Amino acid sequence: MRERRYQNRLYITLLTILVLCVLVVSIYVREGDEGPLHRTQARLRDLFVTPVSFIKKGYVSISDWFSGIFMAGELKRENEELRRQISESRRLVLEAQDLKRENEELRKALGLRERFSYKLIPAQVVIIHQEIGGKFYTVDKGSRDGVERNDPVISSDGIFGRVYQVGKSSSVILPLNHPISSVSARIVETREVGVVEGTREEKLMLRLIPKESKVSIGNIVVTSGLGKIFPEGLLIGTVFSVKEDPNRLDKVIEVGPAVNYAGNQFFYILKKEGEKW
Amino acid sequence: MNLIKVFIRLITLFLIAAVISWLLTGFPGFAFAAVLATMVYGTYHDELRATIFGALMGLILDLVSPELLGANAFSLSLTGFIVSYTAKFFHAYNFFWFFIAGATSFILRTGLVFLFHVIVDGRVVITGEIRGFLAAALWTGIAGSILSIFFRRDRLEASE
Repeated sequence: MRERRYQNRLYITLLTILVLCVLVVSIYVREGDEGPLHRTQARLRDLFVTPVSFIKKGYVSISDWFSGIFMAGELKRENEELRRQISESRRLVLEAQDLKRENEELRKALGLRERFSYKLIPAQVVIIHQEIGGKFYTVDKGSRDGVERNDPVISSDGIFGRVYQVGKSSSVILPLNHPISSVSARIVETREVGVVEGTREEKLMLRLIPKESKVSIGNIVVTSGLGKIFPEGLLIGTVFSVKEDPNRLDKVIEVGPAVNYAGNQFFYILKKEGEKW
Repeated sequence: MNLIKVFIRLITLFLIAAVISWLLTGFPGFAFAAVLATMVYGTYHDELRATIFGALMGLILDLVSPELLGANAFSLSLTGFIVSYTAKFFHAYNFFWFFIAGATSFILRTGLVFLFHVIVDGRVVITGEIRGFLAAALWTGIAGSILSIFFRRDRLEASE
């Protein structure tokens, strides 16, 4: 009798959970990105991310401390090299400031609109969530820090992706190599515009470049600024391979991304200042 | 008091699984951690508790993931139930069981989540995905075997 009651309770609980889950999924899919379930998910994620971020920062500090002990000689050499690079960078910054001023004056004289200005919000990866479709990165910055949906995300090497979901103190980043990700792009050498799409693999695909294009391996691919999400001129990568497919109207172009998707832990979220990029 | 003990044990289980999956993948692989925790919990507890535990783990995963809310809760509650139900018939709580149960749980959970995606947005499987998926299942199995060192049945019974 007791066993039977337990069995009943078990099956009722299991069925209730399963039906509830299906209901939640259905509502989640139908409501928009600003719907109550999406908002609740973002709020609860904030609660979860804060302690994980704290643990991760502690772990990083401890592992940095240990690597500091075991790699002291190498760090000293690296430090000297970085000091040399900083003095070289200072010289380049001074040169660039001169050129920027000159460029602004010339643009004003020619009546061209001003180039975009932005600020950078540094963010650290707290969780990498890998699903069968691709990876998502949860970072420790959210709407409280000024982050908004679709803000571009860059690393020190180039464009990384965009902000996909925003909570108060955390955000989820959709990397460029995710299959649902795409960006309007331009080949620097030929000035042709296409669309770069994620493929789940390390390489990206550049679509809509006509067959008569003179694109070749090693050409640089940057954002075109036409999609309105990303400003123009951000480095995406270089052309890795160019192939012809008789069944397609465009060339099949693989792009080697400038950023290393696997090893990135720090990003910058680009925040536009003003209305346009 | 009992509830606090259960809660602490669940959190410990999840954290150990997270650390192991972190070491294996370089980052906290929360999907692995949740699957591992559900599998270990399901091995040692009855179906009702394993189902509820799986649902909770799935809910945590759903909050971390920006994808379908509820899909992981669905798949992990079912995983918890099946592991617990199956464990009754195999009284071999050793490396082999943990390996098989870990890998199978991962395949079951990911398969169910994937099914949700196929139904909702019609995603199609490609070869690269299957390769990565099987590799992840293998890693979960290996991580499960490592976990078996920490969760011996006799030790758990003694602590009851």
